[in-house]
Amino acid sequence: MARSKKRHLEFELNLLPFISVLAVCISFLLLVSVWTRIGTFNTDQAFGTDGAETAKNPMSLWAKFDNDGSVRLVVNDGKNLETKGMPDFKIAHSNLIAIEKYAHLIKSKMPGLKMAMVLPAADSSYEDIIFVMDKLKKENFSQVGIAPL
Amino acid sequence: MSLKTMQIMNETQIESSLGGLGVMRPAQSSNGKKEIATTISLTSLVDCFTTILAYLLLATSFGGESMDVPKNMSLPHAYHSTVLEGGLVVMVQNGHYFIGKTAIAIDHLAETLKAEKDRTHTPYVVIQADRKASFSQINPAVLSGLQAGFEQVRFAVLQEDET
Repeated sequence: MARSKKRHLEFELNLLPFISVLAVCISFLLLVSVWTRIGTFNTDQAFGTDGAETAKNPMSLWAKFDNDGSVRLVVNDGKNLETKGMPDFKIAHSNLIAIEKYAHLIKSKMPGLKMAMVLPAADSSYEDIIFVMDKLKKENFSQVGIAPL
Repeated sequence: MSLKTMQIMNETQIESSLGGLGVMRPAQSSNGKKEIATTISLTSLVDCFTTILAYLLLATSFGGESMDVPKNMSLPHAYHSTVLEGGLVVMVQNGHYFIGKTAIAIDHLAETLKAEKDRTHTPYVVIQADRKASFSQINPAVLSGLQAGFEQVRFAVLQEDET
């Protein structure tokens, strides 16, 4: 009489080592993860370099800080800072966020304007300077520079 | 042996996890004792762990350089910034200037930066300062960087994502 052998083909996957490996990986990554990303804000300088002195100054937007923290946005036509008919806005420190609106307005009037220069005052805070430069970059001013004192 | 019982699928069939949970509350056996058996479904736990692992692997920024920021220094936030890619870092702290951990006198900052530039051939200088620092403190670092001939002056910021 032939005995019927029942083949045991069921298999069990032991998940515990897998879970242990995953738990170790997660713990390691949680410990080494850097949650604040440090980056750099890049400037395109037009002041202080030898090349800038000889090159012809193109039209640019100047953001000039005053000691009270207010910012004056004025378009420099390459010759004079104050030229009749050019946009000129003064933004109070408490309303610094409005710089985005004014920069957008200037950009819509002069779409070819790509250069912007930030002229900080001695008391201007690093945070305000970066804020203004960041807003100018947002409004597609691709070349944003900073002028030393 | 019938064809039905010979099918390989019948032998490799695995009970469903829901079906397996049925043994947690077994009916009373013939001898009157309850046999308690427990099964825990680990599949969902493994799924959770895998998702967290994938998220952490993606969230970890690979390739970028690291920068030591002192505890009493907080950097400003910027949306339009790039990943830190090295560069010579000049730290401005309370009117003092540091390259690495070495304090540099303001009079020697430009020449030290020039020497470092010639040695490392770094194309740009990264200025690191507290967000409340005034520009009069940062200005010497900017001027010295330009005098040393760096192509670009960069400012250390905390990267923000635009939503």
